[in-house]
Amino acid sequence: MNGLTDAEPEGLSQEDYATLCGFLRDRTGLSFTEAKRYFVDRRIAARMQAVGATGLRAYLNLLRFQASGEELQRLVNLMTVNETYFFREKYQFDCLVNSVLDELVRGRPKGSRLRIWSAGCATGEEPYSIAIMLLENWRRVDDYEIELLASDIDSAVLERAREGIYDERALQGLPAHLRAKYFQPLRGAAEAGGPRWRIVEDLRESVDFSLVNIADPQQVRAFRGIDVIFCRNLLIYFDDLGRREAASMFYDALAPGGFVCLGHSESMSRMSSLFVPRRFPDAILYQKPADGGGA
Amino acid sequence: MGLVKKRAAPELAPAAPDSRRDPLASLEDADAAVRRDGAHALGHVALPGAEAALARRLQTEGDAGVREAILTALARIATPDAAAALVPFLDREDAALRNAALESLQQMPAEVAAPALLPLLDHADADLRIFAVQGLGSITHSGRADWLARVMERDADVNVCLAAVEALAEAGSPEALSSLETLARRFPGNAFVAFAVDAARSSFQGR
Repeated sequence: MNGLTDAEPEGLSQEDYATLCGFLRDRTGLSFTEAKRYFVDRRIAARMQAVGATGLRAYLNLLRFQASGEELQRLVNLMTVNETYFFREKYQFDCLVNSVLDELVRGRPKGSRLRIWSAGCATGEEPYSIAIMLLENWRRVDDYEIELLASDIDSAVLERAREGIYDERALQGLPAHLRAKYFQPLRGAAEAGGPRWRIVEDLRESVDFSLVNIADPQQVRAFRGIDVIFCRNLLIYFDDLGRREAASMFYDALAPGGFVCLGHSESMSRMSSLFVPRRFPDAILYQKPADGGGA
Repeated sequence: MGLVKKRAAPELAPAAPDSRRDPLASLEDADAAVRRDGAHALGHVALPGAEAALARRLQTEGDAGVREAILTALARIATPDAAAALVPFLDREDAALRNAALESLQQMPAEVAAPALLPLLDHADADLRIFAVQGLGSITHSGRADWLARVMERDADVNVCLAAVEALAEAGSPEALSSLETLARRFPGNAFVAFAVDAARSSFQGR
């Protein structure tokens, strides 16, 4: 498109800002308060300039009606924060391999399937960490078929997750022997901004990444019969009602008796009463009642 | 076995939803998943009569997931009719349903929730008045402190008054200080009132 906008970061009126945030909340679940104004304004102005929108109304029309949804995806990619690293909040992975999985497979025949979903996986550190934890620390890993699903609303980070290339910062929490076992140094990477490693092909092939907006039930519909959902530090970007709706989606996605694992600062009891908190030695998780919660 | 390779994983999931399905009719489907989808759709697409249909289904719904989907849909619709449809559930024996209905009201814009909750401040049932106080206490509205101050000054039930003190104390509302003193005088022999008033007074005065 031609014709650059005259919109400046401070060009959004309070009303425009509210309209835009309302639109983003409805479409993506992401909630931006007045406190995030600077963050949002800068990104909107950049995108409006990039597409040559002549004002917010024109830009909103593009977001709403563009058949490909490409611009909305670009904006979402700019609005999400994807800072993470391997083995972040490791005690929750310890809980998975020390307690949760054994409980889930009790009574299940060998060879049956377990489904673990990393929702809001960003650049892939979380699902790959889960894979490594399972292979290294769950003694029954070979008795079951374990399906690792990972999703994010940001298409750019998913590409990076599929590539599986990480720098020193992302790997800092990983013991040296695991780095040696599951990562390969990239040749020539040192010249391009520091050393980097690629996760081995076997692990890359074991995580199924997909583009999913968890605020959209049509997209979440594909996730059913899940045994454990990791959704850490994602719902903090949602408002109260958005969190409640997301919790409801997770409830639908889980198999009876399945678990949700939230970030350390998040509490399911402030989002939904559908789940039962379960205290394990390593962490607290939230469980869908085994009877499905029917009255 | 172990980690399943992507290519070997069977397709996840059920068939795509039937977009032609009428969400109002879906609420009465025998399949809970269809009812959930219907409720969720009604929360995002304005359909006449949705509020009444959701409330009607909620009366008899036994599946916890569908109930939650209905309650979040009503919160998302957030019309005066949606707020009014939730009020009767504040009176239910089922505590989980009661609390979830109140939560839905609290998640509506204040200008929608307040008109539905205010009449309950005059209800004969003290429990319902407490719910109204909790609901009004959690919303952002210019009338909030006045409503709660009036409760402290006039409500005959000490527990309703204490709910108002708690709601005011949480937000720190110095303009309600005189009503707080009135409450202390209304229940002079009640040690818990004295304690709560003292704590709120300190909170209002920033101590």
